Amino acid sequence: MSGTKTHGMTRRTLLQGATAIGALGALAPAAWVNPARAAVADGEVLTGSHWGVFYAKVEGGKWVDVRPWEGDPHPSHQLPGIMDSVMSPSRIQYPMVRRAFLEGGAGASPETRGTGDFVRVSWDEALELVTNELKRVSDAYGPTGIFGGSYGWKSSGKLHNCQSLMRRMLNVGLNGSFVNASGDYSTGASQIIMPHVMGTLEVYEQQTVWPVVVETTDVLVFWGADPVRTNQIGWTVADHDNYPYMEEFKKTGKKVICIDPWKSHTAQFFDAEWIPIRPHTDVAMMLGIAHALYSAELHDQDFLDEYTTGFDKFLPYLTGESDGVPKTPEWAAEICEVPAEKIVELANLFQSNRTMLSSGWSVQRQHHGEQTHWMLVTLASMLGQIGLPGGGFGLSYHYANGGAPSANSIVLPGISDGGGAVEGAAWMTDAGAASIPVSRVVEMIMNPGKEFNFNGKTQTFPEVKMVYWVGGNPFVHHPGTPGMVEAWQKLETVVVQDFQWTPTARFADIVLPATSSYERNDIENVGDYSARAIVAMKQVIEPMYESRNDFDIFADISEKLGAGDKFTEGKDEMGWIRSFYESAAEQAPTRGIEVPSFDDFWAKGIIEFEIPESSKQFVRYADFREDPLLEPLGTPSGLIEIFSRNIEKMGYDDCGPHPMWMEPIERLGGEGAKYPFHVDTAHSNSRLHSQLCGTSLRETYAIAGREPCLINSQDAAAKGISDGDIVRIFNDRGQMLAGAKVTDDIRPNVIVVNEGGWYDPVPGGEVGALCVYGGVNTLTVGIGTSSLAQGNCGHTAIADIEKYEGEAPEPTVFTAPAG
Amino acid sequence: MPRYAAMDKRPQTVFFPDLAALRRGLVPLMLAMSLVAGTANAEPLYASANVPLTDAPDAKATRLAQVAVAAELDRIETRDGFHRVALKAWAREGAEQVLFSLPGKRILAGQIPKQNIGLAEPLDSLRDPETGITWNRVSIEGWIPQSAAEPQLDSIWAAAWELFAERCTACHQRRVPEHYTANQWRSLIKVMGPRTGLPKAEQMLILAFLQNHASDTIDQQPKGGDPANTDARR
Repeated sequence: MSGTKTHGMTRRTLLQGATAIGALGALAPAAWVNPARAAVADGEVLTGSHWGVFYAKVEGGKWVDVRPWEGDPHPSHQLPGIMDSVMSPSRIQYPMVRRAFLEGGAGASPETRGTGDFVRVSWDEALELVTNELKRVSDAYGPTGIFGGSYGWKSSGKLHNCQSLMRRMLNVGLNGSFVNASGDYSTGASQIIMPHVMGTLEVYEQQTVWPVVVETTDVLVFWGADPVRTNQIGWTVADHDNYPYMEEFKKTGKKVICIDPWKSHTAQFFDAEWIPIRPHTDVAMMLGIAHALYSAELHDQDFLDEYTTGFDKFLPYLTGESDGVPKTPEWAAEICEVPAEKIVELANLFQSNRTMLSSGWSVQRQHHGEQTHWMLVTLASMLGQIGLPGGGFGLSYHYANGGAPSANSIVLPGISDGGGAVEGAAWMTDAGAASIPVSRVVEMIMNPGKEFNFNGKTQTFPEVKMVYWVGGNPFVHHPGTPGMVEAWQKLETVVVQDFQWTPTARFADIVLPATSSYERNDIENVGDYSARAIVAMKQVIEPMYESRNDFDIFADISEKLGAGDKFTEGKDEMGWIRSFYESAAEQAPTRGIEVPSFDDFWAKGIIEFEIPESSKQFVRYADFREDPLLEPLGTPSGLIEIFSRNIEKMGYDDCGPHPMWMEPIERLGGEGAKYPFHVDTAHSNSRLHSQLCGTSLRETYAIAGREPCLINSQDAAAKGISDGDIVRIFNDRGQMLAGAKVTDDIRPNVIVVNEGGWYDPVPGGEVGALCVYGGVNTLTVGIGTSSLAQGNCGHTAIADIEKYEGEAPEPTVFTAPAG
Repeated sequence: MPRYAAMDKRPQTVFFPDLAALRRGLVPLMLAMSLVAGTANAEPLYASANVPLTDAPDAKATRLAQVAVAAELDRIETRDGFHRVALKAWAREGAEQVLFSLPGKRILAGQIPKQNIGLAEPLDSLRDPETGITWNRVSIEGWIPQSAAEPQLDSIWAAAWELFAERCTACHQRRVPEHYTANQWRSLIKVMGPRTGLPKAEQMLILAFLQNHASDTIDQQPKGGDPANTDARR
């Protein structure tokens, strides 16, 4: 470990010296060159990641192998990809600037963004450029000229949280003059609708824990959820605690049902009953089940009376009394392609057994996505099992191992965005209030001054001229990539800071090479829900090439903006990490536990916490069910709101006062549907969204060098497509290539292309370009879910597919651009 | 009946946000504000802590009720380092122990132990036509230490804002208070509060701030401070 220390000291001393005299320019560029020397020359280093805790093996200063931590009950097969991402040919090696920007200044030839014409510059020159642009845009366009709402799965770690660090720089250096973003791309619709219905977010909250589910649930339903695939990752450091419980549940032999167009990993793991619903029609199917319950008088009227409000106002809609359309199983079957008899059978099965309706988020990541979980809650209310062990509904079993019992642990704070230091009362200023729903970024850039609805308020899009993106990859995660290419052409300045040449970095003006998590020290909790350990994320190797830590980059920019001390608060990397740990350790006495000193913890590398028996018995909403008066929900009535007066008052035509089936802008089998295939954009089994796409892991799944496209054998035969063929998938919005995989694990008329494939446009920079690797958001819809939540619609897309007969250009997105 | 030492500063018993503020350099400001405050009767005061309401201006007095941080209080008189105050707040019919600052909006104002509910004087009553819930406004009088009240909310909100900005941006972007209603914030903080690792009292301070700046309460907050106030917040 002494190697780490010596290195850190040396480098920090250099930096401090430089900032102290305020003359970074005095440093020769050579000072930043970091050949791949090791933090430890030889040995194993324990560290953590979104994929779990693991050991990195170092030989002669090089990272050569990876093995999982023995405390991980189900390590992810993606671990080798992490190692490769650090060494991959897609690393950003040096600060780079788009040639036209460097020669012609901000806003010059914006159409050349994405063409890969970059020039290498020194760190001094790059930081000077960035700082001058921040000042210029701020002076010229005021507090809303810069977009700092960077979004994405930044790497784990409480200190090197690049998004908080960037906003910290903007807060301390520019007094908070930037546009922020709220919400996320995962649960945009649910996290707005659920608080109106259940009073809380639901999606990021502890579930009735797995031991209770194993013990008491008779029928376990996964509605558009694939926990076996998606629980590989966690927002902090994944614990994988759900996997042994899923094994246990499987061993009981109890019923598991997967409602999903794709026979998912979960369906296969549990050997579940697979109900291949037509995509985008979940609400109709739920209504059909609700109608079957009501017409057979199987609904729990006592529960509805005591714990919910508005069922009486929903009922005329269900029966058709209000609109002339009874939502019968037959009506639903027409829409969702699940036979009416099956819908009735499910109603009976759910009602006569303890049933857990667990749902993923795909079903809300679509046009009118607010309706899905609202209707699921309504259905669960009619079944009357909410708050009973193993019954009700759950919206987080598939995410970050939700439902894993929580440990009695201390909680780490993290680096703040510095908003507390903004001069004046930030909560009252314009800049403090400028925040858009995160998925409206393209709409914002295209429509400055335009009014838009959001959750009962009318807001106005600010005029943004500069975007600084860190820790995210919007050219992959934002639905409707061509729209984003067009929007980016309206910007004067784009800065991207990352460690790989992501598609987003390729569309930047200034590209700054950051270190990966494994070239710096950090600290993180293990287990988003279990919180059962704290891991020292120790540096594995020296920073590659000229990469620098996000903390140091933003500290330097802050210094240039006259706020270096406010940014660092006089602490360096290890100083911050120590302070987080010691702050958390203060909680230990009230929890009745003892924790080691920071130095002992750091030497040990990880501390684990006990999981008390009481945590293994947690039942969500048991307290509400026990006493709805003293434990009311956060709704106006304190009850489950099947009918919401607050939403009624908003008067939106795309989100009414109770859940209802509304035709989306386009869907498979919808009236006037222009294309014959729904494009299912579910998560990949071998990536975290777009992370690790630029690694050797891709070779384990790519087909003909492209992202796989799952197609049903009947469809493949009709289209003359064979396994391994290159296919073109297209609609009015965009076009992409993929590699065909013919399988009956996907239902007819639906193709699967996992989200997260890197956008690789040919020709680069053109709005309608052909993506030659397979970034599926070239095809999806960029609109908001509704006036209520303005979430994204990444699962709304129909398209056509054909065998690609032309000369398919080889993907070039996985190597660094020349320059 | 439990007896509370009003000036007991053990954090597990009674929490004073000025302890937190002390660490953040806000105490001089708060003291200055306390000193300039007049002593006239029936002026509003705001609880700067979760503090017991006692039957006498005495550290050893008997607790009648608990006042929640940021609750508005009517000052009746001040002596011996204590304010005599009236807490006027709303309780849901059937759940009289829990007092909220507005009918239908569960912004905690205080709590009355069951055996003391008779001490609360009924003022008026209101039936919310939308939810059908009846809310009763009551008044309960008692003493709180002078150090646990502020003449203005600004210093309380400044301390809350610092906590919110510091601790609620470690895992996600800073949320906008007026994106959620006061009742929604109560449920959100029930889940998110413990994830900050902060003591319960500091979580409650953040909650009070968010609930009072929520989509359905923001219009009731005084808008924009004058420059002097703004400077003072630093």
